[in-house]
Amino acid sequence: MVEITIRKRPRTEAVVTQRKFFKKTARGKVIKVIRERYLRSDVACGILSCNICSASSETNVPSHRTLPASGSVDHTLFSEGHFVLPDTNIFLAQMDLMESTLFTPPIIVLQTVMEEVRHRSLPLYNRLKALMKIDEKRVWVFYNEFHSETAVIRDEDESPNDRNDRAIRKATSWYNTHISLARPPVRGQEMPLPKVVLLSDDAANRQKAESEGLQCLSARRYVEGMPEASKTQLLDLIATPGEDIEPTRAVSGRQQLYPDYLPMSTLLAGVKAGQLHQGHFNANQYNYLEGSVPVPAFDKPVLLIGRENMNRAVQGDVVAVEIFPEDEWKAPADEVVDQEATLKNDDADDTDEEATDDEETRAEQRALRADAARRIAKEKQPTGRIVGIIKRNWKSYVCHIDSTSLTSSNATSLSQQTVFATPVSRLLPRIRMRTRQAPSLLGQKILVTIDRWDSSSRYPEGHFVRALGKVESKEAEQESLLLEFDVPYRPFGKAILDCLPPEGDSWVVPPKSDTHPDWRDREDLRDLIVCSIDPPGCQDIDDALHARRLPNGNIEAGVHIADVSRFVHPDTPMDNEAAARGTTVYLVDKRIDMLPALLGTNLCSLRPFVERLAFSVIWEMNSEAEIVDVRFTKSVIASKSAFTYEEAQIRKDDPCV
Amino acid sequence: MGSRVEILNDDGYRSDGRRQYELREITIDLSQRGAADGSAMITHGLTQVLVTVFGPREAKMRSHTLHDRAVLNVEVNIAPFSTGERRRRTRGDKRVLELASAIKSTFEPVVQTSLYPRSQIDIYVHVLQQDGGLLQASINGTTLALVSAGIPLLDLLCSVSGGVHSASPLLDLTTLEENDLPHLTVAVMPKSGKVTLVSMETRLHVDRFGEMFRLACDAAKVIHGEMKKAVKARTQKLVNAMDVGPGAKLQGDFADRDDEMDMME
Repeated sequence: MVEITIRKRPRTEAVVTQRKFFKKTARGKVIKVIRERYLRSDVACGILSCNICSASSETNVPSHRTLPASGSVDHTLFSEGHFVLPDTNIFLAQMDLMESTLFTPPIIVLQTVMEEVRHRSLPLYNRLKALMKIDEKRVWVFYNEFHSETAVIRDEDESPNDRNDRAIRKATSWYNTHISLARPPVRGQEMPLPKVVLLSDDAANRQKAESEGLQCLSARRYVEGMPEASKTQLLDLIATPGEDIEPTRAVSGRQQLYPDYLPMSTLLAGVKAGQLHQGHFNANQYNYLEGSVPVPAFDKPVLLIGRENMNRAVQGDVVAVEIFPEDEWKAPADEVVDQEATLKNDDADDTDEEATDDEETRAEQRALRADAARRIAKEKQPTGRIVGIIKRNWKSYVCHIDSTSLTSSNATSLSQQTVFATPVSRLLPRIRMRTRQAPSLLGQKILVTIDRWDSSSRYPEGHFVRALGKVESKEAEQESLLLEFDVPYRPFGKAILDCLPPEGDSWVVPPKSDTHPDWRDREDLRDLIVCSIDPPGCQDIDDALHARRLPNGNIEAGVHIADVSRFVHPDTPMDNEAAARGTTVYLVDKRIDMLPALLGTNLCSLRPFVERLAFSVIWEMNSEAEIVDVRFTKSVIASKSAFTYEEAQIRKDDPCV
Repeated sequence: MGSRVEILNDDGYRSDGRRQYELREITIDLSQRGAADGSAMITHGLTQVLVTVFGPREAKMRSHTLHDRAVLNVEVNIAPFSTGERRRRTRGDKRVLELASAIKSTFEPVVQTSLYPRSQIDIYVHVLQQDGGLLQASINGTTLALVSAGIPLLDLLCSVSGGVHSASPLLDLTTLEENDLPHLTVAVMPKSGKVTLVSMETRLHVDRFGEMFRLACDAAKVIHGEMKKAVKARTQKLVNAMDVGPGAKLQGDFADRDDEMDMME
């Protein structure tokens, strides 16, 4: 029987507890959002055996998750013990340091910090959550926004970032007071108290903290004070930006990330005049920032370097390219630049609320600069940029959902989410799509089509078509392969099956008569000893042969193939489908037929012991195997035997026959 | 736009600081409004609903009456400013009509209509602010308004909404949570435990339903306590204002008296 209570709020606190803000929806409408929050006093501080907190806290916290009573005593500056309280910028920039096994002090993560990290970068947030679950790390999440003593309201004209910094500082000072309250002086003597240290790479924040009397260090200074054994390795992990991290910029509206296309008429005119060149866009499998377009004017394909020069072209599109002057031509790079690795911290959500380009553009430019240095001048190729798309060749792509881009991985969540779908083929960019079924699609292969790619969006947008099944299950993988290579594998439709002869299985060659259309122009070769040789288990026997000695001493040899034209007439649905399929595809356990099985394995198969319609070529040759005569004719044959290779070989080798 | 807020985080806190089984703050205002026979304004957190009741009175249209009982007529009016973005609803909006119809069928078995043949009881529900739990607030408000109008009921009908977040049941959902979770609303007569309404428009696994339902019924009883307190306080005020002679203030707790007596002034 659980306890159900009503959360009461004193009247006077209404201002504190209602958050009002304006939000711009994706369509550009401004709506007012009011959220309430309930402040409580039973939020635990997380320190083991804290008298105050265990008295008021309702839930039993498992002891392995709480922080040790004196924190960590290893540090040179804090010999009485300390806890580390990192600021948001530490998690954003120095995640590797935090994740390192050598970084041992107990960490207090504030709710404010977690929410800021989540807001800035979802993949980093996921790493933070993973960090909290590691056994060796002692991490405690303190919900300062819910605690009545540490909750902070935004002042007039205070930026959200400043408000968050203030909340962090307030929580740090609360912790220090709390620890001293939990350990009152014993016998009049003050006990040595562990300190809670604020780690921040933001100089302004550090200054304000110091003026409030808090202990505050930058990550580098902190690591320099750590014991020698771990110091050197940890110093390496510290990320390099010497300058301070910029606070979140205010919304600046959608930015133009790509140049606009020229109008179609200009493109066609340009191609005709020879100033622009047309060709198919080929992405580089190993470097997502590079592509090439083979054009008739040059014998080497035109190179396109950089996202903006590739200008939203997708593998297979027909594009119009403008060539740079020869002194700007570059050579192809050898470097492997992986989109997933470079952009792994990018969020799926639209960038209409935050100007996130900086991080991603910087990452990309770093990648470009790195490989620019390695390009060899000798192997220069014509280089240019795409100014317009002549024809899009978008289709459905097999993808899987990027699990780091999910905002809510709860399996029953019904909310619509924007996620990344990564195509299986490395030639394609990640696709952004919105779906309500994201959690149930994780771990499945899905089919996604691209709808559009605006110039203000880093990624193309698409939608979910259907799911193929669990990743690595035989059916899903098979289906995904077939889809990737455009092999049609659906069963034949009714229109096609209607083209088959109505007798179906029981169709036989009609008895010989001069009037029957089937017998017109056909030679009767049913007496000949015709046989076929095929792999064991073969159902679709398409050819047969015979040979005999003629009375005049020559040899007559003949090859007979199934006469499919009797059943497949030009311009019928069956003909069109077969033309589209092109061939029968043989998989390990399956066969995908070009023509319905009735034809392929029965009526058009030169089976033994039945009569079949065929088309024959008959040679007459002398003992030297020189061809004396040849004739082609439609025929009717009756195969006497269907040999396997082995059987045929045995017969041939047998001296008695 | 994906939900950037966690519905229930690992430490058991919801997005607004409540825990799983905590209900939002409830305020009840039973003061008289205008010419209405009974009126109640109820707030669940940020959801605010005002219900006014007229009746039993002469029916507007003779043809609509029943010879042996009163007719319940419910009209719901959702104010355009009640949601985050301003939306005017047309008169015959199906969702609104469905809400009204749900409230009507919830109260049919509870209001003692057989005492007032050939009359009409009008219930007007005005939604002033919406933050989840609309049906719940409407039903609770209607109960209180009926009580305030003095119409005899079999019991105080209490309603609560609940949802399930990956096997953890939550009570009293906000809009954010309702958009994300399968949820249901339950209306219960607390004394007998009889249920007059269960409404669920999303899909929920059948194994989860039983637990959620029982929990919602228990929560309705908690709300019942809250409603009783408010009704008593109002009655107290009215009695004090009535100036019933020396020793006017009624003493002590009503707890010893028969529960049916609570309804009468």
